[in-house]
Amino acid sequence: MLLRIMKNNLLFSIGIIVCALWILIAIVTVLVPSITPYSYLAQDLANRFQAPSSAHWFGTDSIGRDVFSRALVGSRISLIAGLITIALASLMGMIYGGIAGYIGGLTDEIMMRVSEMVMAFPGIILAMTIAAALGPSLHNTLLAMVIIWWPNYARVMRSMVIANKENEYVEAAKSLGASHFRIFFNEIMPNSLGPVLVLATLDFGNAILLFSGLSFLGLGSPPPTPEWGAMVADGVLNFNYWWIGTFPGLAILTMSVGTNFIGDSLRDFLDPRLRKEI
Amino acid sequence: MRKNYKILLALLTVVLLFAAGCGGSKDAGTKPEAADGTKQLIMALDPDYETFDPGLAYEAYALLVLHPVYDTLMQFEDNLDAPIYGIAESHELSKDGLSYAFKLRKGIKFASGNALTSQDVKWSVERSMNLKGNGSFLADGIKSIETPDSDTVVFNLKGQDASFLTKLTYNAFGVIDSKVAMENGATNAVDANTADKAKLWFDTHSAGSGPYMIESYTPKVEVVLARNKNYWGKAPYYDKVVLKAISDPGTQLMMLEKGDIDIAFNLGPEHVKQIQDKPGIEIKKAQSMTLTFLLMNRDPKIGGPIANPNVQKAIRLVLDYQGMQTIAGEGSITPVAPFQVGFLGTLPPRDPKTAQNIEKAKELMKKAGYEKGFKTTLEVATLAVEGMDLPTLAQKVQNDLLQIGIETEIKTSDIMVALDPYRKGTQALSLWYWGPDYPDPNTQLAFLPGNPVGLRANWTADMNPELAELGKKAAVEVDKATRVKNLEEIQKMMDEDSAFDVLLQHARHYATRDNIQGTDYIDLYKIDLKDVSAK
Repeated sequence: MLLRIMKNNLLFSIGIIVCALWILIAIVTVLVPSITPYSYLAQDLANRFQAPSSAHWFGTDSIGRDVFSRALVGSRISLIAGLITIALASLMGMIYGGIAGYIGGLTDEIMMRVSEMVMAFPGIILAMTIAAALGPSLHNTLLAMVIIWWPNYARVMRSMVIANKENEYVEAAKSLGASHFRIFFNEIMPNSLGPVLVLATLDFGNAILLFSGLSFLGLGSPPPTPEWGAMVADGVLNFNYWWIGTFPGLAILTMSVGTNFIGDSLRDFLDPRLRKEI
Repeated sequence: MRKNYKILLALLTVVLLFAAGCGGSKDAGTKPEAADGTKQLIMALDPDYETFDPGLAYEAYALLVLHPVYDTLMQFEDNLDAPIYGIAESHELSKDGLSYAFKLRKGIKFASGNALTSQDVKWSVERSMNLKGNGSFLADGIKSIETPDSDTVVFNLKGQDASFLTKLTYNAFGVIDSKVAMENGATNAVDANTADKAKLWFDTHSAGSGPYMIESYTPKVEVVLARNKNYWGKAPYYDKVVLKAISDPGTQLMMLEKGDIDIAFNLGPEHVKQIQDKPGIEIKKAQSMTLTFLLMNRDPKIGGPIANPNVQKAIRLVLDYQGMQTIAGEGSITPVAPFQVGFLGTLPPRDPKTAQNIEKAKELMKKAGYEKGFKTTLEVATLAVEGMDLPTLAQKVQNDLLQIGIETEIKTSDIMVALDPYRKGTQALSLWYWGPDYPDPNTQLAFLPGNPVGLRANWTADMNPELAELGKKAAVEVDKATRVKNLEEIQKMMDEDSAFDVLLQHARHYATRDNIQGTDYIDLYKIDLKDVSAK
């Protein structure tokens, strides 16, 4: 299936290749740390602010660290951040929205108003407030991102559950005496997952972007962690050395655009009304 | 159709008006010499001032504005070695060292035309004391003020104070036109901290006798100073001085290159490199009095292994000061103790090439029982000190400490969040900066055990009674030679045993157009604006 989609869709192929490359880099740099030309932490004050050259492909930063090595190692943090945020937010949103949609009535009203309260806040500002209040660290930033993200999934899940619970097979299961638990997880859930999964792939790139934004503002892991967003912030501090911020910026760009391509194509593929061009 | 046409016309008009408005505002005020021939100096800086009430202002840049507006009895010129007379003509110190009698210069008038008398001096200082602002501690040592006649003022002190003349240079002692101030709600009464309603008036007006008056103040935008025609001294060159608040060094640099401003005051060492060959620009470098230091807590409950004096000494020996000076930029140095080079009695700075001794540091760690090292947290506020990013320096410290096995996790936080645990003394290991409260080595005695900053590291007087005792002696010593001897001894002792390791005394980098002069740096005022003139 994957190959079939790839053959017919250029953007999807690009997305898959770019993301596969980043995932590969992330895994290899974890397993074989010595594969980067320099340690991502090694400081060399004699060679600070070196422009890109054969020795330092992406140049060096304000304390002489190799920007290329740091950009490669940074991939694991962004990938994990995107993955955890989306996984936790979608899980939480699916359960929450599922319960609201299945029970319905007053419970549904109250639960959805609560989720709308979270949605009413501007996302990035709420995330900044939470992350700043808890103190900057990777955990707290991810927590903040999950808190602002789950209502999206809750809404989608709720509307799917409401649509699906009127179906004949649900009626059939009910008349056979199935428990609510069984009906919810065996009958309704599997039939409501599709749109949530599409939303999750589409959101992956956004999550990476938001995470980079927060770490740009100094709310990610503390230094010297090579987060792309924090590296771009370092580049802004030393603006006349363009390479310090440009390359991590390009890394963020490629990864988020890559995941967006995949998400877009998957949506087209899974939505029968748009499927004809694949 | 007709209606649509009308809407389109209205929209077009709005767009045109908007464009015209933008064009108009762009021209105004950015030319160094205004069209009507008034001579105007424009300086860009990243200011921290909150108020221009001389009784309340206590920020680093407050005196840049207040020194040319409010005269003081004593002032500094060129260097910070010893204050010289301002509006005082002479002074006499009583034999017991507790009473200073100043004779005022004759014929001084305020900008309003009122005569300046000793009553104004007494009123102004009493107001500062009773307002209980951030800077009022400078007047804490005063018991009473007397005015035997209209040009004599006598300060009676509670105890001897070697730095009293220096303290008099601050705006807390700036002489206010008491008549004008009282008309605008000011009072020197004991309950002035609640009864005084003049702060807002002082922010946009002034009542001083200095060469300039405050013409207007728009927070976060600019302060405009205008010439005081009644000034008693030599008239300054410029009719107007505009201090523009521009926090970004890159923007300051661009405006200086274009000639929109005459002075770009907050440049980092890296910015200066960009413009060193540009025509029309003069690069200025000076020793700043700002220190960056490492606080190492002495309380084992807070600091853990850090509290061990041998560990603290090992940290002092393992750090690479040369590398830190590279990060802070050309002109930065490393004093041996928290006493700035430029003050009376300060020892020559460390030689960065020989200050590091890793072998000895390892021995000390072994002696302390931490041969294998330990883990701890290094706290740092996210801000720049004299153009140097503090978290970047923290990463350098983290890297150096690894050599004796100390693994640190850096914890960054906003300055507003970080100040509280710092002042309460609950940080184990943290990176901080310090600017002197007043330009006298006595202000640095705060770092001694048992004193305010010392206690932030829980360094109590009984941990080093000899040093604490010597500090008390130095604070009151008036004889210059003995002062120097005491201060030198204190620094030598702090080099051996201290809860603070001074990493850097920064350099200040700024640039001016090359057609102006008199812009030399003096830490207290930054630039003495009345001395600036065209070449």
